[in-house]
Amino acid sequence: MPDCSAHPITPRVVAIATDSYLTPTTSFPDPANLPGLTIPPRYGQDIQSGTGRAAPAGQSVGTTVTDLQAKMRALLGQFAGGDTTGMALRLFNAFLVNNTHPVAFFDDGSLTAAAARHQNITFFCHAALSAPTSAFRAAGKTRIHQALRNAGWDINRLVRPTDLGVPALNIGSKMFSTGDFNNGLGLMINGIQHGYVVATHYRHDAAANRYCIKLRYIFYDVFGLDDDDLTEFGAASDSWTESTAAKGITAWWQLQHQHGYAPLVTRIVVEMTHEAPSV
Amino acid sequence: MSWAATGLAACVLGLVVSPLAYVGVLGGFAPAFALITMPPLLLSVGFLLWKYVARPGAKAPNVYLEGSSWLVIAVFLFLVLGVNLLTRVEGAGLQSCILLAASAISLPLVLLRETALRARMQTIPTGAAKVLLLLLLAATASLAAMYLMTPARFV
Repeated sequence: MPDCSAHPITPRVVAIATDSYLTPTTSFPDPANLPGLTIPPRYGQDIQSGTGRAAPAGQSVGTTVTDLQAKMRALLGQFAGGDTTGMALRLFNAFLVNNTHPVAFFDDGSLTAAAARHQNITFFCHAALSAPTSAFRAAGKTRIHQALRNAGWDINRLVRPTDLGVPALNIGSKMFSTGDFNNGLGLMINGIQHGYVVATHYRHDAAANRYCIKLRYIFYDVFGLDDDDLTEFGAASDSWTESTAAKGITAWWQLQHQHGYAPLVTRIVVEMTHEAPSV
Repeated sequence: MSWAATGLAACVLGLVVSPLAYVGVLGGFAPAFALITMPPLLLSVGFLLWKYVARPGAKAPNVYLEGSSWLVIAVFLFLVLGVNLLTRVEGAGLQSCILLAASAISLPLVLLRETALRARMQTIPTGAAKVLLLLLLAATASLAAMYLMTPARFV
């Protein structure tokens, strides 16, 4: 099988994963990375921001931006103490830089590298293809390999599967701040909202009954909170009975929905080349 | 000696000492939390341990003091299980894990020492004690298994 990089194709989305918990209301397209997509990724209330909105149950842990920022930053100490790259701090700084920036993508090399090593992302990348030689497969499901087979190995005729499950960066213990709840990934991302798989190179060798495919996996999540997050995880007040983390959540919600700090859309792009038998 | 009474005594002792497992996460609260909660908690745990591991026949604990001590433990557990964004379901699962472990650790003491607590448990009719113990173990084991097997939820 020749080098796959010698066979570029017009990039096309070949599989889609969407978080089933989402109640999507707001589109935030990424045309440069998702060519030809007629329905862009859509997000829920967590991508919105504003000023002066009352909290659902009157939750409040402070009134000044300085105080709220300090309380939100305390989340870093709780859940990113083991982040040696500073990626979580960079995300917090980007969010807190001012309350005039619009919703924007947040890309970070360290975040991408950490995600690419993460076992749940590795599982997703292999299971999305689910070729006979893939390290992980979604048994009984139509994934990219099966969709290619159904299309007679013609990628232009492929009907992309859209029922993939989204991966999550949530290995470890919140209680004891271990794993993803220590390295920053759980705080920055936790559950990914959208995953898209884009084929950028493809070659089918009918004589050898093999194909190679280079896939770009693009993951999106919102670094922002909705009312449900506040209700479930936030502190009601600045009382000594509330945990530092719960106060951080309420402070974050207040900054976003009462002081106009816009959320960020964290974006992770991982590339992987696969070779597999076309059977 | 009924195995059910012994098991219940171990569970009660396990529940008494279980709050001590959370001392390591008190840093997840403001310093005032430890300053305010630890003195009454330590007094309550100490009082209950002192009364429960005493030899049978010792003076029964004052019911109000005993009730107050359990109330302090309950309030402490309710508050501390809100640390680090644990949901109430996750908190119940974690407490179940700790209760099972603490009960297992308490079992040798209950087996080797004739205690006032075990004597009290032996006053429960054997059939009722067996049902109570099995229900307790089934509930805590289910919650513990759910906690250990469910990925942590976060914002």
